Amino acid sequence: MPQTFQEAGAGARSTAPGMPQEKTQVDRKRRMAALAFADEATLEAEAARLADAFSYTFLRRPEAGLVMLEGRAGNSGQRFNVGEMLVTRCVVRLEPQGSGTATEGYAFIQGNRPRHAELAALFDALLQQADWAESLDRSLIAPLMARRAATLKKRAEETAPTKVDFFTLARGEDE
Amino acid sequence: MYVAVKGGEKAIRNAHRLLAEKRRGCPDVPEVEIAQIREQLSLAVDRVMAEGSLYDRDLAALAVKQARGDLVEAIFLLRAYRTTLPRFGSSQPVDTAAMQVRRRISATYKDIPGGQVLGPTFDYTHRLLDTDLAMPADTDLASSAVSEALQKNEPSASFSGLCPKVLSFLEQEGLLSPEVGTDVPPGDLTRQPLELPAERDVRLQNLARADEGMLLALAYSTQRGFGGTHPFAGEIRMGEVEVFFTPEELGFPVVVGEVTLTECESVNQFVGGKGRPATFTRGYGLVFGENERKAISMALVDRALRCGEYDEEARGPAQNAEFVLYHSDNVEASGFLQHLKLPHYVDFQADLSLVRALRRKAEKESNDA
Repeated sequence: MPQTFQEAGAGARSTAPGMPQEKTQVDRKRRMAALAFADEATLEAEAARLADAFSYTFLRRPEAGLVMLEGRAGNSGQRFNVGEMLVTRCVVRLEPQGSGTATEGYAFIQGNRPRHAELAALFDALLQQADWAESLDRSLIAPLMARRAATLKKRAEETAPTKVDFFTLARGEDE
Repeated sequence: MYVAVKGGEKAIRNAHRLLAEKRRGCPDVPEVEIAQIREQLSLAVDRVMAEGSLYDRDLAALAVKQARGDLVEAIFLLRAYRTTLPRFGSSQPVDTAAMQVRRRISATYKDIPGGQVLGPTFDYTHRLLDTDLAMPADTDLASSAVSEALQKNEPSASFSGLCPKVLSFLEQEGLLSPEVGTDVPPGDLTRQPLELPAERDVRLQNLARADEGMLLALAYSTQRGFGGTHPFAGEIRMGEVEVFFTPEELGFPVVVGEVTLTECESVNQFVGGKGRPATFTRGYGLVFGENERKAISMALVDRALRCGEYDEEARGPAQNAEFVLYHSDNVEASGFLQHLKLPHYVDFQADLSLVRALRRKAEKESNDA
C-alpha cells in the first residue's frame, strides 16, 4: 500500500525504487512515514501494550528545531528557500532481545511534539529488529497506513464536489 | 552630550499588566483557545506563518493570541522565536506537481486535465455580511449538509487531488520559457544579509516572507502601468505537499510531514525577435498556507524584477530590486519605524536650539535692515 501521497500519485520527482539492496531502506522509509503521520495516542497505546518488553536509551533527547523548506522557481528552476518549519528530532538506542544487535531509531516529526518523536524513534528502532518487525508491521504500521490513506481520500472527497462541470448553452444557429 | 535617563520601570510593569488585561478583554466573555484560533482563524494563522517564515500552526496561533490579533506583531514574535532554535538542515525542494490540491484553477485554459477545482474560496461569494454567523451554528446541521453534498457527487469519486501542471502544456510546445535550475544550494537571507544585485533565489525568498500589503500594492502598480508585464494566471493551486528531509545521520530522505502551500504561476508578456521565436515569460509565487492574494502578488513582482533578464527598461517601483527587496520585510520596516518612539530628547534639543538660533539671527537681520 502506498504510504505517502507522492507514492500514491507517483509524484513527478519521487525517486525510482530500483536497486534490490535498497528494499530494506524503502521499507524503513515507509514505516518512518507512517510513524510521522501517526497520531500520538495510537503510538502511546501500542507502546503501553508492549511495555516492559524492551529497554532503550536516548542518543538524542527530543529536541525542537528547524528544517528550511526549499522550493524551485516554476517547480523546476532555481532552488530557493520558502521558509522554515518546526520539527522535533529524537534518536534512541534499543538494546537487543537475546542474541541480536542493538539498533538506533530516528524520528523527525513535524511540530513541537517531543513524545511523538520519542515513540516514533522507538518504533523505528524496534522495526529494525527482526523479532519485532513482522508483528509491528501488522499491529501498528498497517493500521497507520490505512488511516493515512483514509485521510487523503477524505480530503479528495471534500474537494471533488467543487470541481467545475462546464456546459455550453446551445445558441440555435447550429440547428 | 549624552544624558543617561533612568526610571519608568514601574510604569512599564504596570503597562504590561494593563496590556495583559486588555488582551483578555471582558472577563465575562470566554477566553479564546489556541485551537480555536488555529481552526477558525486559519487564514490569519497562515499569514503569520508565511511572513514569520516559520511553518507551525500552533505557534502561529499562539502568536496571534499574544499579539491581540495584530498580525504584524505576531509575525515579529514568530521571527524572534525561530532565532532560539537549531537548524537541522534543508528539505528537498518541495514538488508542487505532487501536491494534493484542494484548489486549482487556470485563467488561461478552460478545459485542463484535472479540471478547474474551486475549493474553499471566497470567490463568487456576495460579500454580504452573514448575520447567521453572529450566533454559533448547530454543528450537527452543518456537518450533515457537507456529507449530503458529498453523497450527491458520485461522478467525482475518481478525483484524487493530483493534477498535472497547466504550464507544462505550454512548455512542451516551446511557447513558454522553461525554468531550468541547478543544484547549487540557494542563498539564505536568514544567514547572509541581502546584497545587491540579488539573484532570483534570494529575491524569491525575500518575496515569500515579504509583507502581503506591500506585495499587493507593488503587484497592483504593475497592473496599472508602473512596469506592467501583462500577466495571466496560468495556474493557481493550493493544497498539501509532503516535505522530505535527508538527515545527515541517515543519508536517505524521510518524510517529516506535510505543509499547505499556495502557488501561482503567471504567464507574462512574450519576448522574441532578432531570430528568436516569440516566447511567453513567467513569474512565480509560492507561499505558506492558503494565501492566493499573496501568491499572485509574488508572481507578478517576481516577473517585474526579472526586467533585466529581458532587457526591459525599469520604469516602475516594482522593477527596482533595491526598492522592493529593502522595503518588503515588515519586521525590519516596523522596527525602524517604531524606533521613532524611543527617547530622542537630546537629538531634539539640538535641533530645537538650532531652530531658535536661526530665528534669532533672522530677527536680528530684519531689525538691522
